[in-house]
Amino acid sequence: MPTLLIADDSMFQRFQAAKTAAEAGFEVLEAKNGEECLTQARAHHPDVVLLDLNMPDPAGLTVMDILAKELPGIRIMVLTADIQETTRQRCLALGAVGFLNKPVDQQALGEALRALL
Amino acid sequence: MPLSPLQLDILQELINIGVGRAAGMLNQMVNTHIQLQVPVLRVLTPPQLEELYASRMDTVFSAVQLSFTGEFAGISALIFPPESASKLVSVILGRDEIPGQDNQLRSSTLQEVGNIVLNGVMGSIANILKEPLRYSPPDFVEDDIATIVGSVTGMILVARTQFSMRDHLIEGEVLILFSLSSFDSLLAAIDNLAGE
Repeated sequence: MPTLLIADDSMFQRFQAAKTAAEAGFEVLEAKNGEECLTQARAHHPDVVLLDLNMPDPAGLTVMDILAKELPGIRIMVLTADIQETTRQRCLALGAVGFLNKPVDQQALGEALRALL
Repeated sequence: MPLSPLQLDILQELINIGVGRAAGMLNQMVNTHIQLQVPVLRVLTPPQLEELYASRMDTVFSAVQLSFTGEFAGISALIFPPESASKLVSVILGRDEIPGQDNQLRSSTLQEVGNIVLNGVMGSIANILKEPLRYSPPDFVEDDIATIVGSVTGMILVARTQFSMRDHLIEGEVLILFSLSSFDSLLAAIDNLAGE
């Protein structure tokens, strides 16, 4: 079963995404900040990381940078409330395989995650 | 007022667009029409800002604050009276509440709603002005208005929009406080947009 690591400081977002991911056939791991995300990614090598950007310790873009160096094959789907075009461009330049804005339709999220497999 | 009529007009329109975008996002989350009032812009001192809320100074509000920095800086806040906050959580979570974690999930839900809405407002403005913003992680607070707006000093540009969801009897407001220390940068960006 593929593994999805959900990294978001919002319990509400983790709750919603975990439900969607489980229905899409993923085993789900969760992280509530950047440090937990890195710890989980290093320990479990998830197939996909669903990554929030505006979270603490460290923020999502720093996490992306670190993961790109340490785990270059890891696929990162960004899910963020930040609608700035510059943010989207930066994430894609850092290698994100997808960029979704919140609020996300859960069906669309499930389809986007399944499409990565 | 340190803004020209044209600058004020453009800023008003930027906030209109930003709030409109945010209302669309809120509409998606609650599946109901969001009624917006026209945003009001004013330059105020902190005491004058408190005066706006004088009749509700002892009220505890549920609020999400999102601080932003970049070429211009300030704080944006999404503010709900307590009954509206509870109703909003019920609408969004529906039957998906986790028993035993109600308080945590409640505050997390409100925080995320605020995060999305305020990003919608500020991100729209940033996109149009082509001036990227950086955000601090959103903060959820339940406190009086003086605490929510924080210990601002000096003059502040206040943009205030009230909204309601009639179907659910939910009301709230978006408040944006622009730091006047970054005012020149904000006006320069607006002037660029106006082609001056």
